[in-house]
Amino acid sequence: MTSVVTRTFTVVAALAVAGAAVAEERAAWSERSWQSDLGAELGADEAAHPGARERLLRLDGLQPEVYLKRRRPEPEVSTELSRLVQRGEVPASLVSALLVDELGGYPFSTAERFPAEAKGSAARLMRMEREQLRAGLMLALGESRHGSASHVLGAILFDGTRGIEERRVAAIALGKTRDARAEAALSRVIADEKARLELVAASLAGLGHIRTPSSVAKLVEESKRAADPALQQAVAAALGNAASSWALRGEDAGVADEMRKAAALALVELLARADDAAAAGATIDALQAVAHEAASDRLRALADDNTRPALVRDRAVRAHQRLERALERAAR
Amino acid sequence: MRTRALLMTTGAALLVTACEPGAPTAALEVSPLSGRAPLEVLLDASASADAAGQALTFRFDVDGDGSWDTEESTDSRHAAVLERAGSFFARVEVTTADGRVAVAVAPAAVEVTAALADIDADANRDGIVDDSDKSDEEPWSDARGAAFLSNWDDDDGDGDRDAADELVNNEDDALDLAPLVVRRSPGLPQSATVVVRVEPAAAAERVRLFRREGFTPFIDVNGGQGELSATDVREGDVELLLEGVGGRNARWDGRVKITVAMEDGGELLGEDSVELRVAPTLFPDDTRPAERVYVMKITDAQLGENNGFYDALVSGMPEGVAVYDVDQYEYWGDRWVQDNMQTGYQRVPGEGGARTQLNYLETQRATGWGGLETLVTDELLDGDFGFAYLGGAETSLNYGGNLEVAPAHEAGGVSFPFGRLMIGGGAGGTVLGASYEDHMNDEQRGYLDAQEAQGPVMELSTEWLAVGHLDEIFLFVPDMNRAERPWRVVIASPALARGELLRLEGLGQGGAVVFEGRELQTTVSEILADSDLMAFNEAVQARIDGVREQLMAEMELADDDFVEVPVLHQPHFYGGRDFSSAYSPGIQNLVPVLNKLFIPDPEGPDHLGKDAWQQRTVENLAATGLELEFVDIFDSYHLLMGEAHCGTNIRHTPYEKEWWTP
Repeated sequence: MTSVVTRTFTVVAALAVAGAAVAEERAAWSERSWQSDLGAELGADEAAHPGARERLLRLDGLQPEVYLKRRRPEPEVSTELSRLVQRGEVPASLVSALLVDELGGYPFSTAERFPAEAKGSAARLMRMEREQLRAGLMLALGESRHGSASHVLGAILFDGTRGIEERRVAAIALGKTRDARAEAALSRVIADEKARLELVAASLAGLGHIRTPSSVAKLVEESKRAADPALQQAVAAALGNAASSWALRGEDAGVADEMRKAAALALVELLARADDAAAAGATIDALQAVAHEAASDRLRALADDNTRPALVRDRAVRAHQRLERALERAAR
Repeated sequence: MRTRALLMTTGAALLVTACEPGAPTAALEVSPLSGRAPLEVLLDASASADAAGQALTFRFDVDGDGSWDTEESTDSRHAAVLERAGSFFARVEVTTADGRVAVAVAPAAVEVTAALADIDADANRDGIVDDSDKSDEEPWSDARGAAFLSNWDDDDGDGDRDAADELVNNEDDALDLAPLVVRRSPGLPQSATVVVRVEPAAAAERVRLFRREGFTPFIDVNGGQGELSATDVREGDVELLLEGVGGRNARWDGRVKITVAMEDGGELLGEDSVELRVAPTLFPDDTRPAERVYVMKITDAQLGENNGFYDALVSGMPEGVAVYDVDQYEYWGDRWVQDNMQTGYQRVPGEGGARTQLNYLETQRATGWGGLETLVTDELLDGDFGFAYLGGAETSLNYGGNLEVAPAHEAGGVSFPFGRLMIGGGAGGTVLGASYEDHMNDEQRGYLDAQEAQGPVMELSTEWLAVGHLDEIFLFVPDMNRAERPWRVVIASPALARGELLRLEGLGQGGAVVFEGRELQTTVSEILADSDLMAFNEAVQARIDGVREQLMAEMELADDDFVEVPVLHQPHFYGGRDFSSAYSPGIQNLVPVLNKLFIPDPEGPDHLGKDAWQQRTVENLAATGLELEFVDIFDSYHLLMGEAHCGTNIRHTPYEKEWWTP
């Protein structure tokens, strides 16, 4: 199995060799160069981190002996992989290459790895190992903000032959790269009227991870357009994520405040027209997360507006209480 | 309810007759004038007289059939029993000493109803079936009506619940059955049939009847009805035993009506019914005194040892509380004892005191690899221990960790003397906004609701959690210093956890190590700088506040009723969606035992030689007056997506109050 991975990485490395002649003449990680760039980096990383590949091939979260002990006894590697990449124990290039090669030759569990009593669920779990590894790799790659990330993840996002679950994770992982290419790709999905609703929702969530003024502006715009409850819910949560008061703490205070204010006001408007309970709940949660006092008066006005349905007014009261609690906490 | 007039009519008829001139005057009074056979009547001829003043003798024809039933005597009164049904005109003959005679016939017949159809159960809930049970035998109400157990324990030790077989296994087993008495009806015609019916159909599927004599099977499950012989009922009371094969659930409210109908030649002679109801299963809350703590002792490193936690639990266990070791090898190291069962009990009135049967809810985990599935069903099952199993391992929201019990309280003018059942679930989607819905399955929720005593079940949002359990958010703990509401809600707070980190960073201690020596080791500043993690936690805080808001509204709680403890969350991805679990050990997922809390050690940043998250927890819990002990669960539970509460289960003392008392 290791040999297949070796083959895979060799293939990617070969791309690098092929592109090496022109590598000097083009920008790194461009649409044209990213594969050869990846191959070149992979070679260097493998040399610098000799144990990394081995580590990647024995993730705890894919070992039945480990994951069957969990309270949720299923494979899952997203946090483990993120940690390994963030700490440099596994280079992002290796993660990217494994995704490019479609997990080729990865030593997933075989039926023999499962206790006799678990044979019935072994097939499901083995299938899940593959899905979970792919999800974990995508998220770790996105978080790494590696040069290849938006290319690799974008390709998965737009590949209609892939499963929706995989493409959903790709959208979120893309957002985690926080680069302009990702924002453009996610915006394309959101603008595509033929795109599946779940994918649009995931792309909104991805946009929420970017946390730039432009991504917030895009989300504000989408919050006004969103009519489907699932999209209202997604855009509300994304606004809460993008303009989270805790997440923006380290950003420029003025910029962060503008982002939060814009998000807060958009969320109040969304709350006023959200019919669905889940969408309204997500909006209230997001208002709390954004925790901007600009929403306070608007919510109070909404609560007092007798022309509004009682349900909307009640939600405004709840949102206002939650906002006040958040502001009080922040003051502490 | 009796469908024919069964009550005795009181009254009398008096006839005074003088047969011929010079004859004495014969007077006859009979009472009562109606009743059910055997009917005791009094024939009173004492008003008879002789104008000449001679002494009188009397003889009586009780049933008016023309033949005298007594010898002549000076007794002017005669008590007799009318054994048969019919209309009877009694007669008396009065004779003077010189032979003058007069006869009086009662002007009104004594109407005797043939059959006494009478079935009794312990309707007044004193543990005995006697005459005091005769009124208000149905319908069953909160105030009156007999109760019975689900016979789910194993008195014969055959490894199966007693209700699984069609036998009363022994005297102990018989004690788990409810007594019924079909009263003797000596006047019942020999040709009559006595039918005992079980209704409705939902009940007939879930109860079985035996005759006490010889524990003879009488009406099996789904049998619907059975017959007693007229001879049996003529000769004496017939004692029956009702066995609960099922319990209250979504399709049966636990009520069963048992009717005795006596018929003869197609004519209904009499009918009587009594309604019983299976006892609710009560699940004591965490503030009740603990009797036994279940925990798996794992010494085998291959299984992921928990020596630190187990040893701390055993050595620190308050006096009088037993630790029950769940075997590590028997159950493949499946340590999530909380998830596999909910401890509870059923109780019914009994002679000399209430009769209790432990009755756990088996909340099977879908490990599929030989985990704790058989702990309750095989190991714990015994003569006073039974269980209910509703199936449904398809969602982790069915597991025990997702079933909590609020302590006794009042809210909205409604009293919850046994507290209130709470489960997690909802349709609120994931933290990052993906549509998602998950609930405890209908069968199990229906079972919980059907118990009524701790309902209606309250559902709180947990669908956004990776495991999906309420104990990932909050638990109830005793408060030794509050009289009126002697408990509080310990609730996870990402805001508090972050606040402590900010405080330390503000003190220039951003480099302070968190989770020191663990695989996850990091620093204060690294955590705070992880904007995705922070944004996720701010959203999680909002979710938790939503749960808190619902608790406050439904239980009429105030902020003072909550104790926040610092916990951070992190996302995991399953099926392309994000789900949340504790990033730092979930402090609220603790083990409350009497006046002590075993608390997951958060392994937070050190500040002046103390763990800042521990310190904040201690300060916030100080008002409760509880003893606090932090225990190591990091590798043995936390990294496996659970904490201390998840790894334990507690059998509590039943409530002092009985469910059948006002």
